[in-house]
Amino acid sequence: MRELLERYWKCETSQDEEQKLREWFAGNGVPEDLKKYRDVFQALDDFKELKAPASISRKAQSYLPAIQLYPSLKIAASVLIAVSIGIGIYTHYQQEEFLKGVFSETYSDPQDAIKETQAVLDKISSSLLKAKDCIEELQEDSVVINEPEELIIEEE
Amino acid sequence: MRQDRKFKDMIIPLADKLFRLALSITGNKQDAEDVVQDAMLNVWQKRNEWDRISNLEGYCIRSARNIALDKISLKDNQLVSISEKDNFHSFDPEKAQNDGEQLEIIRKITGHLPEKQRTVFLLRDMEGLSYKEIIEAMNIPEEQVKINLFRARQKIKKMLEAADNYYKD
Repeated sequence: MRELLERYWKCETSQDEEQKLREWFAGNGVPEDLKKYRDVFQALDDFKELKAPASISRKAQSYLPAIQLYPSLKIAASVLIAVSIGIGIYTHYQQEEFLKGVFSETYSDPQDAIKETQAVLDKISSSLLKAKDCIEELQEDSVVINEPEELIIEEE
Repeated sequence: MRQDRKFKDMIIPLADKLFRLALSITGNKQDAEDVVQDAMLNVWQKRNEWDRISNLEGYCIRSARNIALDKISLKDNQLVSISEKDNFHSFDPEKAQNDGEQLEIIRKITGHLPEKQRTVFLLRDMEGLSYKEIIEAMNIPEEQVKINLFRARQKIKKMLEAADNYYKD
């Protein structure tokens, strides 16, 4: 390790060798005369423990669109859009059916429509005739009731 | 979307590294935090140019370093180079250790170095960057990386030996 240390000061070591040197100085087997160099490796290790304040990452994250930060939002948004479109289509379909029920013709053949209309009118007509007969009967009854004085005059 | 993912997965995780670098230059945590935030914003705003950048991490480090240097030159900060006399005789390893301040210790060990030497030394020996990565981070040729690293290590070695001899006497 002494030879490695000498090469380190001369910048002749690789990154792997420098890592080995750091690990060696962090251990307990460092000779007394080399302990003075341990401080620099210890200081570097200690300084590397320092972390940036969380506010830095938070602020940097704020530059990103929310949908990137929370990928599940993408899925939720897609589902919401699909459901909204579905509801819209269904509602529109329902309205169309309702309006069709109110305004559309029920017979594709005009002749059938005429026959059906005639049948309805015939029914109405026969009902009206019956009503007229009833009224006439009622009227006849009312004539008998209207002549009571003539009957009373006849004496015994 | 690709840029967003790159920023989230590659750039934001550099925060610790950039913060330590900025701290080694500015000497205080608030300034270092400001530097890193400015650097991240700067990188984000230039996201349309990322395709033209070969090493994005190196670009981030370079950005943070430049912002940190601008900050201290504006503040006329004396931490760029502390006199050798102050550091040789004021460095007490035991005292520095007991202080518990990582920053204070690293400043005492590297504070006497010119900024370029100190930054190369920290990028290599603390952050473990390769020579190629340091070249891209500092935008200097390989030869300059090696020269600055050599000088930094030699000065630190001498300082530690002098301090050891001083406290033994």
